[in-house]
Amino acid sequence: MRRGLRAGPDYTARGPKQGLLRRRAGRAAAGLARGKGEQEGAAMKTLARDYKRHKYLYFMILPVVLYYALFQYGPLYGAIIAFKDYRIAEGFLGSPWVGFKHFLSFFDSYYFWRLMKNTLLLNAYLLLFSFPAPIIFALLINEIGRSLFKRFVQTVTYLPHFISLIVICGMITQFVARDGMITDLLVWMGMDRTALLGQPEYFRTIYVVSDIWQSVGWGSIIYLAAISGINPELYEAATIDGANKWRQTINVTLPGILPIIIILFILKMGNMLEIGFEKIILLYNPNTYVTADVINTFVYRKGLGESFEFSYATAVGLFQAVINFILLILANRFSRKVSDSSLW
Amino acid sequence: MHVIRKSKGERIFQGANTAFMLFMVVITLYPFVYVVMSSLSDSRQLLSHTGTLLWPKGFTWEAYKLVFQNPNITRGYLNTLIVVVGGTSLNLLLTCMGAYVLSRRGVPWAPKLMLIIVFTMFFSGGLIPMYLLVNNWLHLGNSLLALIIPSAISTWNLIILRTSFGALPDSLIESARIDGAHDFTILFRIVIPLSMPVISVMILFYGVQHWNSWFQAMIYLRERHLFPLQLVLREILIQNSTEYMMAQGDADVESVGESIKYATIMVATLPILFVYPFMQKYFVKGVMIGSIKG
Amino acid sequence: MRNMPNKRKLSLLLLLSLVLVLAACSGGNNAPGNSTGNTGGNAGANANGNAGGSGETAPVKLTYWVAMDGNASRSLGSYSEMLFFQELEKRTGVEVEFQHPAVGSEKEQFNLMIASGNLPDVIESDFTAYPGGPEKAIADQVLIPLNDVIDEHAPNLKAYLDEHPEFRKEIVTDDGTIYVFPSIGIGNRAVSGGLMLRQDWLDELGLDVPVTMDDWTNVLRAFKEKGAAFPFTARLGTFNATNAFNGAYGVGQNFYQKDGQVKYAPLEPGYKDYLAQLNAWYEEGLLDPDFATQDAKAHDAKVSNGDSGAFFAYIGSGMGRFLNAMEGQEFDLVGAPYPVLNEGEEPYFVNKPYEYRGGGSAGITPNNEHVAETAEWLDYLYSDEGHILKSFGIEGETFNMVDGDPQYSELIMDNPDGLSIGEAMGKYLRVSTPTPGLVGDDRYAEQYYEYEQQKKASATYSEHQDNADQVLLPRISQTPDEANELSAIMAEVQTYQDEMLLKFIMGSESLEDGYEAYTEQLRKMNIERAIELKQAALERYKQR
Repeated sequence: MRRGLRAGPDYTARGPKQGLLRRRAGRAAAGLARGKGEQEGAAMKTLARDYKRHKYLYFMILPVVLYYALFQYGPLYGAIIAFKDYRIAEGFLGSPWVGFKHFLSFFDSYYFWRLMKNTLLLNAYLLLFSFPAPIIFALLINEIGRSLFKRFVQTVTYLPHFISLIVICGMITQFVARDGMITDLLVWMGMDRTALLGQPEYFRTIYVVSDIWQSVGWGSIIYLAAISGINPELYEAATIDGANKWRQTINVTLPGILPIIIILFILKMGNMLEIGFEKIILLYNPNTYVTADVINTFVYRKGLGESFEFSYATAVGLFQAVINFILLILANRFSRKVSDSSLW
Repeated sequence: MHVIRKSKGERIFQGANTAFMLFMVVITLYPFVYVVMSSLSDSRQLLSHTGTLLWPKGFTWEAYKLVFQNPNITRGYLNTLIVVVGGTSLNLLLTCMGAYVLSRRGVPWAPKLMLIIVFTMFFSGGLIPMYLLVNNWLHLGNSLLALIIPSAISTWNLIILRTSFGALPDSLIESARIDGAHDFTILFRIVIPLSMPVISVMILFYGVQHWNSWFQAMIYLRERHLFPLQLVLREILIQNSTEYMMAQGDADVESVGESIKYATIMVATLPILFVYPFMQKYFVKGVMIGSIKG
Repeated sequence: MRNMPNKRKLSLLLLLSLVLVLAACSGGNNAPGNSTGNTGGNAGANANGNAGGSGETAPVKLTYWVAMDGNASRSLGSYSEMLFFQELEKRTGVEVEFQHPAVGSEKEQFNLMIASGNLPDVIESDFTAYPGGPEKAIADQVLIPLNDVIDEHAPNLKAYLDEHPEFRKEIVTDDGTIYVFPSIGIGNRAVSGGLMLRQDWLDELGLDVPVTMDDWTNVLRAFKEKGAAFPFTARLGTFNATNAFNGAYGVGQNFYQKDGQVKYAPLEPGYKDYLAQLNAWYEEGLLDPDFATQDAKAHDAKVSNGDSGAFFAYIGSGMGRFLNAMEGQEFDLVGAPYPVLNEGEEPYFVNKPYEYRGGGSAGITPNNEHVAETAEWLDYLYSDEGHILKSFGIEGETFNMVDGDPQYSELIMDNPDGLSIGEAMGKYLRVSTPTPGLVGDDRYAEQYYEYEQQKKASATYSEHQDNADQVLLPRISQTPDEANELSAIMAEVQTYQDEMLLKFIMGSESLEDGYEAYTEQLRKMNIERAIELKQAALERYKQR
């Protein structure tokens, strides 16, 4: 069952682990004459033949399809409420149509562009700093030889994930308060003493750094699992070829976890207009709105107003989803071109 | 495994790496230390304290005593346990089957189905249609099943698992098929055992997700004896927030003692923390090769 | 394949446990689920259940949806375990099954309940906050009109309403319909929070409790000289949500009324003076510069460790907690009257709750098959006997009569399980939060405030509470369309106002140069239309 792993210096390019998700070129790699029937004309025939051949696959997918049909697509009709004025008792069908009113009212908002800018910028920073952090961390952990220490580090670093956001934000607030630990450190380095959370220019930094602090350990779990799934023979081969640790990381480990990195990256791209509002609400104040106020926090505040803003919130949500979905499709297409791997 | 002499550069790197890891341990351990120490402190002394906390202020177990007096906590444990075990099992079964099918090459409809599934990550009908479905049509409202069935698959996890299954060598599966094994056998006897690292991650992700979830419980459950632990915890945490106090007409609701708040967090967090080290043993290198060598 | 058997076992085990657990779930938990499914809605189940039941008159059984009071949720699983409700059932023979949303998520559950149409017999909630107003709740078939029901079956409530026509005006819709059994605030101690200072510092410095704004400036300066780093500490809400110093300048925080006209504070001249004063304090270091960012914990710490000597707090949860925590140390607090600008003036903007509390009011749904019995049962709470039971409990258990007044027993005041007074009250009684019936009884407030300082502060704050009626907007209600328009305007206005408030106080925007542009921008955001809408609702209120 072993494959030829040692094929010269480019050994990593052909290992079995390189079979990325949807290896178009490799579709027929197994050498079986099937799976080409994607032409619409022969579709039904192909399907029938396919069913015969893979009966069990159909049994397996049935509950999954049922789940998605019932619980994900079933309630989807609710999205029409973005185009209506929702009235509780009249329900989804009875409420009056208002067309694009809610969308327009959002686009016309005095704060629309600021909200867009803040949301995109914060996400861009997260993508730039927070996304790679767990990957690097996983690679570093992997380099620790002593396994007891390794386990200890892993176990400890994932702890912040479990502490309630309310508590985490309470601690952040304390650290960067006028007399907080981090403020002390920065003052020692020559900054003026102030409550950092009161200054709009520090908000994004605080948000991103604390996000890394919270999630680097937990986020690395999936990469560590992927690393541990890499065939050790690849390392042996690399060693025999005289590659040092650094070369091994670049040429074996990184390519080995590349599929998962790409998939998570694509998913992250499809999330650029979305940002969890709980943490921001716990950290911001009107003085930092100028950098901290994002779409979701604005909608949240609006929801506390005098009426039940269900339609408005749905409209904004729909707008975010459409943009996000377009971004995802673009990212997926791009990735398919460049790396030969993609979501679908 | 690797029997090589370490170069000087590598030794320096090892040293720096260890130092960095120790640094990471210290800064990520702190929130936990803070919670533990606060929970063991005297509420009154905690009140006037600011800044770091490395040792309890006036050591006392009082907070834990009060937490366990709360009847909702013990019942919450049981409910959470049922949901975690039941929910995770269902999650795993469905996710494995779905990921297996979607990872097989040459299934003509798989890419389209994948797109259909990914679509649901972005578009949803919102809270109310979901509530009507679960409550009015499926009649799962006010039962723990409402916390399990509507979240039977996480698309995110499905994608991760599919990615991982897809990275297994085709030859393994094809040769099993030639040996006459059908897909269930291949999935349960070959694919899953070969994917134990990522399966254990799935158990962890799903388990933790169920353990931490409170939102569904909040909307579906009207009887307090069904409340899971996190919902009880949230009730206690939220009562100290100004927002909640403002929402109460007279705005003079007594806040929970600070140390009780932290003791509740400990009680609600500690059990799940023990799962990870248990899962970790599957993260050891060579799981896969061991099986193939067989 | 040496490793395989173990792993195969594991997979099998997983499957097996799944089947078992799912079976357990559906077996164990469907039962209670189903039973509520039946009782919540169709009365057929009630009739059947009662047919084989006890006695000659089949007891009425009601389902009752109510958010649990936070204090009670720490020691009770359900209100059916509460002493008050158990005794109430004995006395009235009406059996009640409670449905409780999770604390802190009442609004979501309420909306979902309405949307699903699965209504219980009685809903206790704040229907003034119902989307579209209380009229809409009746139109939506969530509530039934109660005018006739109260006339026929609620003699105690009817008597109260006849005696208090002004109050009746608050609880009806614009067309005169009564929609709930209201929570009625009585008593002369309605104001539960205000400004507080360190009494021991005042004594030490030989200063009186400040009354005018100039007094306040002097006191804060003296505190600063004494060594307090941040003489007056606050959280954001002190300056933008509750009435504190703004009243001295004759303005509210947002909308208020003056001689029957709706006003929006930032457009009024007094508001600029108010901001100027706060800005002056900020520049002088008298006002805690972190007020916008700090959380409750940091705020409380500053108070208790002597960094600050003056602040805004509630008598029970604030003053009581500090006095308790600092017992035995040099620490004493005093409540200052709501400040005025000049000696001899009276404060108007005090934080007085509405007499009709809004929250804690019980409506009857169209699903209820025992409307008459329900009304009689609820009306009991408006009788003297019912009021005593609700607020004080059972004689000999939770209270004793001393000189004709009910005094809480040790079970409440010094609970053997270590519960605080508030928590013990929450466990046995429904007295500290709004409920159907009368709330805010002075005899309760007197005892709830265990420290002498609290009692004094309560008297100080409430001294001019009736003035508030002249400036606070009454319980007006907007039509659904008005509410939509209003919220579209206010979402932007509120964000803008919150931002500018801080800029003006902290001086990053100059009041001299920037205030005009500020009001101009507010007008551009259509604030005047919002005032109009409020005014229209106020006019309708006057016509009630």
